Amino acid sequence: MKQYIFTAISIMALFVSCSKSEPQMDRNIFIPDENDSQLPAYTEWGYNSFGAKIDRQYFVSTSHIMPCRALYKDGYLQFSLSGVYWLTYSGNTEMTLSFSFPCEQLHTYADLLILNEKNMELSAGDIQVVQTKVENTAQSRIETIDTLNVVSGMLHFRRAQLLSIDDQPNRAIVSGVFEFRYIEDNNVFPVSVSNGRFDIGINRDNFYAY
Amino acid sequence: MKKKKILTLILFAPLALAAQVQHTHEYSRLRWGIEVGFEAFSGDAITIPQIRESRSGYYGPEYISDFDLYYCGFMFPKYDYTRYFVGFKPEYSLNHHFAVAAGLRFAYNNSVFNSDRDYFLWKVKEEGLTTNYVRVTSVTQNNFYVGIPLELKIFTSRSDLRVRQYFKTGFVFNALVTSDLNVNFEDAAMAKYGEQISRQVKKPARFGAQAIFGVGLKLGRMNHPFGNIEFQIPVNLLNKQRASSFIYQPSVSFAMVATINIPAGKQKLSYNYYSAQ
Repeated sequence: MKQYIFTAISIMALFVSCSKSEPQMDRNIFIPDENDSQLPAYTEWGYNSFGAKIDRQYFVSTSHIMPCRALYKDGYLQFSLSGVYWLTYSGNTEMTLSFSFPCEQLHTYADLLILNEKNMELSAGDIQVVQTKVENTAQSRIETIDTLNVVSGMLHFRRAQLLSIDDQPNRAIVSGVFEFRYIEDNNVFPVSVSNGRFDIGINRDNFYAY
Repeated sequence: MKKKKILTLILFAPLALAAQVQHTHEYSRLRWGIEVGFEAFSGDAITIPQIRESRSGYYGPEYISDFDLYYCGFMFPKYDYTRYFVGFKPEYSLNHHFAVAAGLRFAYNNSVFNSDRDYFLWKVKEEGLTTNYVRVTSVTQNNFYVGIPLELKIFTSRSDLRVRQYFKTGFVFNALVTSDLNVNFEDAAMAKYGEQISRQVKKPARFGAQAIFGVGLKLGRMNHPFGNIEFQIPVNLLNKQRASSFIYQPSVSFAMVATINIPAGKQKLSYNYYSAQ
């Protein structure tokens, strides 16, 4: 019996060792922007990167956080970007920026092609921008969720494309730019989110529809 | 005491001269030559716009020590390049210090282009809202050249010693004769895109010109077949040339050359020397 178990474990180990490396498309590729090297350059390759300036801080994608999730529910598409918001030299805050807007019926990630060249005014009444921050410290984890009071701005999906690898459909690549200003509670001056750009691959791992 | 020494030297000098024999050393001005060698360098990678990883690299914003944050596959920023050559190069001595050589050289290079991963992605098709990548493990390129070396050798010593140092300067002009590209795919069924990828890359430079500076040792007497071994520094005379479809030729490379020379022709050079009886 022990022999059989040993053989089974050996075969399983062999299969694991023979498995292919992680697909390149899932990795983050960061191409520094020529004008601001803290931000990724605007690309349309599905580099799984995004970035924006929030006043003078940076909100950027990282390799350990799924950079984007798309959820279609009840006639709305929620397009969220998750990464880190750099605060200090030693610490950071995980942050998610979600754009929720009315959208035609979506069934699979391939349907995201309808976003191609779609432009949205973020201050419109039926569009919501939600900011979620998770501050991790040695002692605590503080999560704050704010629906932003956007006074002006836009989200522009410059390009949506369906990508095949070796002639097999693989994912949708959604690339675009965004910028907006919002008013925080008890503050008369708006916060500016500028130079936002994203280049994201979306497949069944990060697309949900129900 | 001092006078004694001078007197002794004056007396013995003729005796010392009388004890030596005068010889005449003669060697052909013309020598056939066969050369083999290689030129090598590490050249900057050419950015291929169809490669997804071509602009990427390990990167971390200044204040982030965690480079894994942007961990990704990338194409190497530099690739090694070696060009092997063999040629026929006759040499002619102008005098005891200077010799000129010119010949015909056949050169071959095999360049391999790959990434730090098992494969990289190459965009082969883009139509409307659909894009097709193929997984490429590596691309190899074979380049064949014909070259003309024109050289001037400067011997430091007048005598044809068995081991004789020399300096060299000159030019080499290379012309690309043919080049082929082999694309290795992760999925062998994608070989159908090989031709398309070949069309997407630019060919290596058709023509190259280099100034040569070198130092070498002649091994053996020139009145018999002898050998040379040289270290050269070729300096590229043309800017930003494509050594292969994937590498730029740097301004300076290095080369090692071995030559065998065989005396030929009737014109001789000679000089006298003395040896002990």
